[in-house]
Amino acid sequence: MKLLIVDDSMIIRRSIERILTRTRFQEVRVAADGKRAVEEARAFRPDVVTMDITMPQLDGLSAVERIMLDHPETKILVISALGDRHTAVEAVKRGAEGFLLKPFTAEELLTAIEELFESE
Amino acid sequence: MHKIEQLLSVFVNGASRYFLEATGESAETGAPYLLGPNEIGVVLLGPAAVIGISGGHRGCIIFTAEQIMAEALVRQMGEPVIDAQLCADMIGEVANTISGNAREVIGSDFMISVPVMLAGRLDPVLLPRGVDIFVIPVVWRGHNSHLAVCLEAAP
Repeated sequence: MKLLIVDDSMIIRRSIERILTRTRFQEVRVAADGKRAVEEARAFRPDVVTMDITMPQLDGLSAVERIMLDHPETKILVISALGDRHTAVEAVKRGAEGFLLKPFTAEELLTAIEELFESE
Repeated sequence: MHKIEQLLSVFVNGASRYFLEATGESAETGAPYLLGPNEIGVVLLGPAAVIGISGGHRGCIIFTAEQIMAEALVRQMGEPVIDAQLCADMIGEVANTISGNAREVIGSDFMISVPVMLAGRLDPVLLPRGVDIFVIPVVWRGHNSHLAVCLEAAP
C-alpha cells in the first residue's frame, strides 16, 4: 500500500514514517505543505494520507478537499495540534475519515490508521 | 473573552500536558511572571520559535529551550543523529502543538500561524506594542525552557 505523509515539520514527517513503515505501507512519499500534497496525491495516488492542517502555501483542510475531489477513494487521517471540536468536524466534513490530536504516541497513530480500514 | 489569568492557566496546563503526552515524563511549570520593558533578551535560552496569533486575540506565543533540551526532545522522537535543523524543527513543533491545543479551551477563533524560527535574538518588531509579555518557566528532565505569552483581545 502507498502512504503520503503531509506535515511542515520534518521531525513529525520522519516520526510518522518510522512508525508506519513497520506496518502495511511499502511505498511512502512526503510533502511539506498542502499545495505540494495535492500535487503528490495526483502523481502518486496514495491509499492513505496523513495530513497536518497548519501549513504554508495551502492549509491541510483545503488540501483534504482537493485530494478528495481528485481521488475520493483515498483514506485521509488528519493529524493536527488544533484541539477544538470545530476543526475535527470540519476535517470530516471535507472528507477525512479520522482525526488524531498532536502530540500522539506510536500506539495512538497505529490505532488511528487501523480504524481507517475497520469501516471497510 | 478570556482574561489574561485564564489564558496563562491554559498555557501552563498546555505545557505540562505536552511534555507528559509527548515524552511520558511530566515537566515542572513555574508561576508565570511579567517581563519588564527591557528584559526581552532574557527570554531566549537557545532555539526559539514564534507562533503568531490572530482572530479573537492578537499577539504571539514563543517557545524557547536550552540546546540540551532541544537535543533530548529530538532523541526522544527516535532520531539517531541530532543536528541544528532538527532541533529548530522540534522547538517549532512544541510551540505549534501547545498553541494549537489551546484552541480546545480558547476556541476556534484563536488562529495560529506556522512557526517562525528565531536566529539568536528576539526582534521586538515581532511583538505587538504595549502588550505585556508573561513568561512561564518549564523544566523537563532538569533542562530549562520558557513559554512566553504575549496576547491581547483583538480590537
